[in-house]
Amino acid sequence: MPVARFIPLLSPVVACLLMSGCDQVGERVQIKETREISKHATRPPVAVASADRFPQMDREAPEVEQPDPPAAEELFDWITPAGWTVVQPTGAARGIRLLDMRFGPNQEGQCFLSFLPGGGGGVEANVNRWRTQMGQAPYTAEEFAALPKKPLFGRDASYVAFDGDFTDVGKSEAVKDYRMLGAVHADEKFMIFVKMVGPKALVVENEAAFDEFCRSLQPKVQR
Amino acid sequence: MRDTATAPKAPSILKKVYGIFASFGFAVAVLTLLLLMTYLGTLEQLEHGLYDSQRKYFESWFITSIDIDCCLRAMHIPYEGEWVLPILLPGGGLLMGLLALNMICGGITRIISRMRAGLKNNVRPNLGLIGVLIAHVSVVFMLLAGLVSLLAKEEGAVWVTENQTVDEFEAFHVSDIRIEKLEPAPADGKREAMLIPDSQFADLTKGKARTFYREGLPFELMVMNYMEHCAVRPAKTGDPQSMVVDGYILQELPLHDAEMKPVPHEQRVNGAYVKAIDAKTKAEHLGIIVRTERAPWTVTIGNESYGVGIGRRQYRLPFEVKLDKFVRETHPGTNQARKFTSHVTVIRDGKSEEKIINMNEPLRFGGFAFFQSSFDMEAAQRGGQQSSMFQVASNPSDHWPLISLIAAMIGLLMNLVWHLTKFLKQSARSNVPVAPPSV
Repeated sequence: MPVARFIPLLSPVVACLLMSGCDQVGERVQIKETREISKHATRPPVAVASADRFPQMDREAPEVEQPDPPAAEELFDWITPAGWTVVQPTGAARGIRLLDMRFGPNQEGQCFLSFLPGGGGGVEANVNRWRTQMGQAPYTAEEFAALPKKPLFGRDASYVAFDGDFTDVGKSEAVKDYRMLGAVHADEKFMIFVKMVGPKALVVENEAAFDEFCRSLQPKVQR
Repeated sequence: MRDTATAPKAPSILKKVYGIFASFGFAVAVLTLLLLMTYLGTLEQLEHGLYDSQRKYFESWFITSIDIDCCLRAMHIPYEGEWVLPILLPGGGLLMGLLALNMICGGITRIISRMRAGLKNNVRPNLGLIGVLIAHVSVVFMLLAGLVSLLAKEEGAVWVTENQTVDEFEAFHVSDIRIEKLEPAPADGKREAMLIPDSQFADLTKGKARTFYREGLPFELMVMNYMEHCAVRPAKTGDPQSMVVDGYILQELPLHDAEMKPVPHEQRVNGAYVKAIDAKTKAEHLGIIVRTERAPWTVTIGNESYGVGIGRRQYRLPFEVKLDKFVRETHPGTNQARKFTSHVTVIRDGKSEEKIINMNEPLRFGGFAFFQSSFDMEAAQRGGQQSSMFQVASNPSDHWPLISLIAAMIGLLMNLVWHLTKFLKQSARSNVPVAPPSV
């Protein structure tokens, strides 16, 4: 889902970042109500494929016109670490990365800032997806709970760092000996994270720059 | 020195409060606020739709904001941008409650004062007083009718095809998520749905989630990312993988069309992401449910399969209705409908009654009213099996406003007649000054 879809959300997000977090709705509720189904009601089929369950897409689900994604400069202030360059996200990244940067002699290191509306599925699920990208087993609940925190937009973000063979989105082959860093924060309205990935030696060399970049990120005050 | 024995006793706080509630000024204030609510609700209806405006202004205890920009545009004052005024005002429900209280207190006060005056002057209760009391009771009764309607009214619609029998209808606005065990099918043939009312999931927008469970259900159901108006579309490159289910994604749609007219509430297609979590293995199954789906999302846990779907709430009828024949008459030489009629059979307790429903003649049966609402134009034109749509309403207080209006009219008429008679009698005695009316 392109970032552009969430332009109306981005300003509140920036505002939300300036304030304290919102309450997470996560309680369990017992289903108490039941209803006898009419004997005249048609019995639904079982295990129908999605293509048959949903109406004809082309005709019934019109595309909502997407405005251009907002420039990161309109939303945030940050310090670009020395030797890093800001690039325009392309392909699938265009819809997900608010700010995309490269570093290293051949620009093989990537560091980007992403925003996902609606909690993005939660921190744990996303971190474990990153682990999978690096060929690592998902964190156990204990390991996840023990993750260190680092500041991101003035909030505590879960910080992860692991090595492995990296399989990028849409790629079938893994590149060996890579390292990934991430700082991720989520609440019920959005998830925001900074993710760095690249050859292990290059990422280790840029870990301080990663921290510097995360600390420097500030939402632009809305006037 | 002041004689304390004859000094008037200060009224207690309770009496003062009662006096305020019973006062004419309080009634004027409440009615003024009701007028303001009606005005604002009518203006906001233009961009927010009838259903949402009614809920905000007339079916609420309090109003917490006024959409000023929308009101300005509704008054043809050009204003771009947003201007929402945070404010705390009593809502329509509270105001009508206060008005009922005012009418009751005012009525009681009037009875007491007139009884006292009557005892003092040896005058019995007259026609005028009785008339005013009837009018007071009538207004309270009318407000009560509104409350009963709000709490107990059921409205919806049902499509019936010729030779099809129905015994339930679908709500216009209220939704639920239903879970039904599909396999193995119940041995007694009785099908049952577990229901999650929309009051428990309508707030789960923008990533909020809530988990629902039930004794005996082999999974818990997490409902998340509820969308009031949405559509399912095939996923594309760039869509977040966490939102893609079986190659599809739920896309939120705007609540306004290109001309900024609100999509009517009854036409909105709601949907949500759901996650079934196996109670034993904790394995997770992610699915999409949407109101327009042709079949429910199936969750299989062990050897049991369950259907999970979202839709408008179904209300049960205490009888069955079978559409025998649908007849459409057109204006000569045109395809324009002149009259359409549904010939139905109503079956209750094994007894059948043949009835007719047409455009101007609803069927009223068993506390329900069936209005001829629509028909299958395509089927009507090509012939063959026809379908008819009935709007169904059940409102225990359906006729109460009419009764209260008639009663109020009688009461006020009694009061008028009494005062007129009194005036004429006093006028006849030329030497007696005319007393002012005391309504």
